[in-house]
Amino acid sequence: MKQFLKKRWHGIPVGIVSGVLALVLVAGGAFAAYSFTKVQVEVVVEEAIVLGYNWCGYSWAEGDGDDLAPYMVGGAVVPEIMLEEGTGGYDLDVTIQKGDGVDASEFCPGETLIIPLNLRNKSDGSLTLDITNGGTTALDIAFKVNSGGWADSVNLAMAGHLGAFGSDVDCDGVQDAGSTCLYIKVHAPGDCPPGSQTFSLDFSRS
Amino acid sequence: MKRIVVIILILGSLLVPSVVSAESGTSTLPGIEITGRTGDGNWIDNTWKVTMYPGEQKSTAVTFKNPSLRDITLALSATPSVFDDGNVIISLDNSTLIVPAKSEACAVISASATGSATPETYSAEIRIEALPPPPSVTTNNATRITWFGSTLNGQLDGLGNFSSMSVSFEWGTSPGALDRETHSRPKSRTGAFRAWLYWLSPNTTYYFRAKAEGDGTIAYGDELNFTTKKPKKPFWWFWWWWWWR
Repeated sequence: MKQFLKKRWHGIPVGIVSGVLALVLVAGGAFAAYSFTKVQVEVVVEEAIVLGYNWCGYSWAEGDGDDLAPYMVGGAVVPEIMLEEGTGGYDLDVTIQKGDGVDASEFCPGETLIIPLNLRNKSDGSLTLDITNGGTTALDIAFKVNSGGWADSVNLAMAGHLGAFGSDVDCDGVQDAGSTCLYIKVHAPGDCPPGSQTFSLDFSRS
Repeated sequence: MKRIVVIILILGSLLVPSVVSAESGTSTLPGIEITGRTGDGNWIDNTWKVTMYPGEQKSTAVTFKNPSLRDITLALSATPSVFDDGNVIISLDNSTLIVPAKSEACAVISASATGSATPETYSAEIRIEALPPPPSVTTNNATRITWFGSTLNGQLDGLGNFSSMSVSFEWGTSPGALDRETHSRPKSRTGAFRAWLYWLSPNTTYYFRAKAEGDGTIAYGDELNFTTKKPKKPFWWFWWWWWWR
């Protein structure tokens, strides 16, 4: 054995080389005998609850919508309303301020604004949606779904694939079956300080 | 010296296919073919990609074909399988799957998201491993049947994952109630084994089956039987023995 390992050919240690080759051959065979395979799984979970609006007859509405537009109880001029998706996509920041160039668009103490929004569940499964006021001291906020009553929060069971874009009542007052409309009632109490007001809506599903 | 060089060349040529098969060992299952992948989502190469909403469950079925002549058992596992505090789960319908010889079997991979699941991308790995065949043993017919004894014969066909198994025979006089057992002996290779039964009653039917045991795993052969012969002549010593026993 020692003589074999010491064999050299033109200075090349052929004995050692052949020994290493034999060891690699055995190790490779043993590894090959251990048979398995792997497949990868990549699951992308997307948000199922879609909150939208498509208000018609409103100067800053996106496109030619046919949803019921925001309105003032009592018929006053509607102030400017800004909707921004909050961090994480689970809350909605609503800012109410005076419209540019329209003096009558002020949101004054004692006035009440109604903001209709669409809710849609894109999931195959039913989901329960909780909507609460994320915190404001200056305004009184209440909610209702479709023709329900007003409440401080909403606990809404939404069946799979519930709702279509388009609120339950369009500009012409026609009921749009299958949609879910969330109404936000914003009341400025008598002691509400002047200036733009922002409040946040918290959405959570289970 | 030329012989040494020839040996190196031969070993080198053998090494090439060895390394290739070692590489393929991580991506293929010898003896198993994946013949179908259906269901939700898309399969892109070796990756199942699926998009879903909270409250949904999606699944894909993977069909394995076994063209060989023996059953092949596959072990399947998902790692990791739980995400987002349990709101997203990747699961398999079975942790082991037997693919019968010359046939097909199906494994279902599912992904489910609760209503509280956080929108995100989740990745897991499904490992599919071919397990060695389970140990098996065959009972062969008894031989050398006399009026007072017989030789029981068995065959250890496979040791499964064990390096050695204890082989023996269970036997008795009633079918399905084999209340006696021969001494076991270790066996580290497949092949025949036997045991000698003696002091049996003449003209009596005995039932037996081969048994192989390894670390709690037991394999049995089929139950067979034999009948001891009648003594041709009742020697005086036979009757003495009959009375004595």
